[in-house]
Amino acid sequence: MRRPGTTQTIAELVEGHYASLYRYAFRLSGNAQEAEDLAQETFCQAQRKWSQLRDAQRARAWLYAILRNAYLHKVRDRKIENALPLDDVAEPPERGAERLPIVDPARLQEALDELPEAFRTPIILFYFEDFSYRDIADQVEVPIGTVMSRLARAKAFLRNRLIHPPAVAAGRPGKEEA
Amino acid sequence: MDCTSARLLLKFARTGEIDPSERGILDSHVAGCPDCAAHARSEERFDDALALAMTRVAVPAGMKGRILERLARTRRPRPWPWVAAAAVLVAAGGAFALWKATRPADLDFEPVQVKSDVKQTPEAVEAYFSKEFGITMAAPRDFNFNLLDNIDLVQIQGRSVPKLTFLNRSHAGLAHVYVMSTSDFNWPGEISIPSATHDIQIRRSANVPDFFYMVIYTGGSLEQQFMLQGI
Repeated sequence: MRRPGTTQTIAELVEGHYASLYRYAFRLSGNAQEAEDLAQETFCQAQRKWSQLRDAQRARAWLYAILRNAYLHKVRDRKIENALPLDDVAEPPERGAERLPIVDPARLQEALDELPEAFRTPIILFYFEDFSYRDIADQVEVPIGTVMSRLARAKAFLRNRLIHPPAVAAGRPGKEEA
Repeated sequence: MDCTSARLLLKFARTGEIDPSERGILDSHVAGCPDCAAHARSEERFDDALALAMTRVAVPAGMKGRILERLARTRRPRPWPWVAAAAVLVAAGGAFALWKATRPADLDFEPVQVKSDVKQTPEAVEAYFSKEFGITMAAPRDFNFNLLDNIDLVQIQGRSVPKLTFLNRSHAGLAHVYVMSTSDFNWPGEISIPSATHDIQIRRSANVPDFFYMVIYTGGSLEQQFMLQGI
């Protein structure tokens, strides 16, 4: 199947994006099997919605949006989000020239799992695929200002979780001003 | 540039959403501001460490093949392109024909007027049908062709039938003569059906074995009004 007006096929999309989509799905879900299911479901949906891809240059963002929606559907079906009450997190304090230890990916995942999806998705996209603030805003369908606020709070949360013992770490970010 | 603006621009600098002129101003500020320089280094180290950890996810072996297999299973078989194109053309043609058949037709005045170049003689009428429609017909020679008002080709039971209309203005008489070919219609025999509004006659002309005429007329006697001589 070749998209009209382009030389791109669904197989080429798979080739170009399956690995990064899997990693994105893994960071979102925290589960290897679920991540692979999400990646597969994303390409199946892409195949069905092939005609909706107007601009081949937007294929990556299109696939990421499909994957996130698929993930949100799963989450809503399971009702696993918002298991904990959400607390405010202050803007990140000045840290000066502190040394950041090498971040253990497993610990990072644990911290990500604690973040509400509204905070988790932007920060994954921010670090993971070098999405711009505009791209992230398009993905999560919120204003850029909201994206930046969520990123700042999520970074503060992760910084505390990864540098300091959980006992003194800040609570989960939740409330925000859009 | 103050420090607050610099900290904000540092965020945009990471994603490349900063234009070169702003970048220059930011770099100048950071170069002259130890606090912002320390902040920038701290943020950069944190971002780099997090980005590195974020992407350290091993992709399962064989996953690409499994995706392609699943895509192949779920892909609906598609008709060959030319079959699809032909189907589209047929559908479009059918839709156009349906649209054409169901919309009101443009009024064409030509059939309801005597052709100006057709002489009002039986021979000229026969020549006209032969030339225009490729139809052999025999005009009823016992009719008064000076009264010929209109000629037309109509459909009766799916057959093309020449129709001649004679108008007798002085008696307000009108006669439609349908020239029926015996190759299209069985000769039913002489028939005369009077009614309150019009009369119908099925009749033949002498020496014209292959045709008969269905005449629907008003205004009194067919012979007296429309024919050269009484038959």
